[in-house]
Amino acid sequence: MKIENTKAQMRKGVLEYCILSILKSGEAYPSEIIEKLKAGKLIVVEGTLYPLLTRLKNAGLLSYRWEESKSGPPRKYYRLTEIGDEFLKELETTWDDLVKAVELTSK
Amino acid sequence: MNQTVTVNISGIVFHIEVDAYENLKKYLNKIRSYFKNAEESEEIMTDIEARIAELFNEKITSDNQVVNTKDVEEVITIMGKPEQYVEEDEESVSEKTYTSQRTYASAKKLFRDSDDRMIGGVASGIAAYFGVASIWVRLFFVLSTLIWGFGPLVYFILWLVMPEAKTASDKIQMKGDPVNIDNLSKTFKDEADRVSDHLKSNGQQYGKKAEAVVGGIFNFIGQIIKGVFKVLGKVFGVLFLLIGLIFLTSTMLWLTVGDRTILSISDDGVFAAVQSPELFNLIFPSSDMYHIFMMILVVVIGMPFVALVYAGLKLLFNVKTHFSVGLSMFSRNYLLCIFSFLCSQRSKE
Repeated sequence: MKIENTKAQMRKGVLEYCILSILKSGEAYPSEIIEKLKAGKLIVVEGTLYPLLTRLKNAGLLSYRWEESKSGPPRKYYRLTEIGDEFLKELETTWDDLVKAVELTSK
Repeated sequence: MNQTVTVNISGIVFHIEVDAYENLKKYLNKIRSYFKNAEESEEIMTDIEARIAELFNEKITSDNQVVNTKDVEEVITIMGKPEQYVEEDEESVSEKTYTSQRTYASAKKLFRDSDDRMIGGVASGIAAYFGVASIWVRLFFVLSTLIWGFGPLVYFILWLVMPEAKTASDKIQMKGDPVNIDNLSKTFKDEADRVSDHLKSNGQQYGKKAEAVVGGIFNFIGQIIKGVFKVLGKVFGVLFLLIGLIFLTSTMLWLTVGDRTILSISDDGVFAAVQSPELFNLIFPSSDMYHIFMMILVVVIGMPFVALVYAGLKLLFNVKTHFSVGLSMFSRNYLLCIFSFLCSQRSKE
């Protein structure tokens, strides 16, 4: 039992949840998502996000559109799909349950 | 004064110092090799490159128009090493290990080992495949050249057919370890250790001198052998082409003109056409069946010779694409033909 594995697993689930939550309020491009995640210390390096976004997109939870950018190459603006929305709602419930469970058990 | 190269990252042109460019290229290749088995690899790489371009763009000012090593290092720190992605993204570890172990755990592949080569890395590749020291395979090649004389031919053919182990996962497959993150990082670590060892040994004067002399000799021999092989390649190209064409035309002629004959070897060892319609009537009850059989026979016999002509052309005209790709395509079709033939025979029964 490695503490690193457990930590990584905990963080991973939360990471997906947080990415979907960020996109709940509207579309965003990777750098914006990264900034928020970094502020929350959820990720350390930016590279982590790209495989994850691609996977979420391929799973049908996210879609994207291209937009020209003044400061570089065109950006991918990601947003939630309907499936993503449903997914997020379920995660929210699960999260609430988990928080309650942790509160209850750690008293 | 620093030399720069011009690169296009995600459609934006950057001037980048040569050293910085090398580092960036290494970094991108490393990431690519981590995602090699993932379908999404291309897309992820494009996204990452786009982000890198964005970061570079922020660093470029009117005073500083060139991307230097420091910029690249900073960007790599921001983006993170692929090992770090994996740490943060556990799913890709389990997924990758799972799929790769399932696919490659027992699958060893024959590659040329360009890291440990005397000529083309064929011997060391074979040695890695069988898990023996490469010296034995080399010894075999030398002996087979000196005693039986077929060494160079075998070596040459293997060189053409065996692909070079280019990526880290190729190198692991070459040695037969399962391709997973642990092994990948082990290979990277080995590589780094080797480089640092090399640097250390270079510090020792004697070692360096001896190495230079030995390396020079082998390099020289290698050049000569390479030159010989180049000439041999042309000779084989002509030979392949001739044999292939002669055989193909003669098969065609045999089919169209020589009805119901068999090629057989007569007593004095010469091919001779034997006319024996009775025999054929005995084997094939209807003439339709005979023709179908003949057509299949042409495909089965003809395919390798078409491949031979193809190989000859490639050798002669030095076409860029590795001809083993074409060859393996041919051999696959070939096997498919034989297989379908056998199936049809079985279904008749």
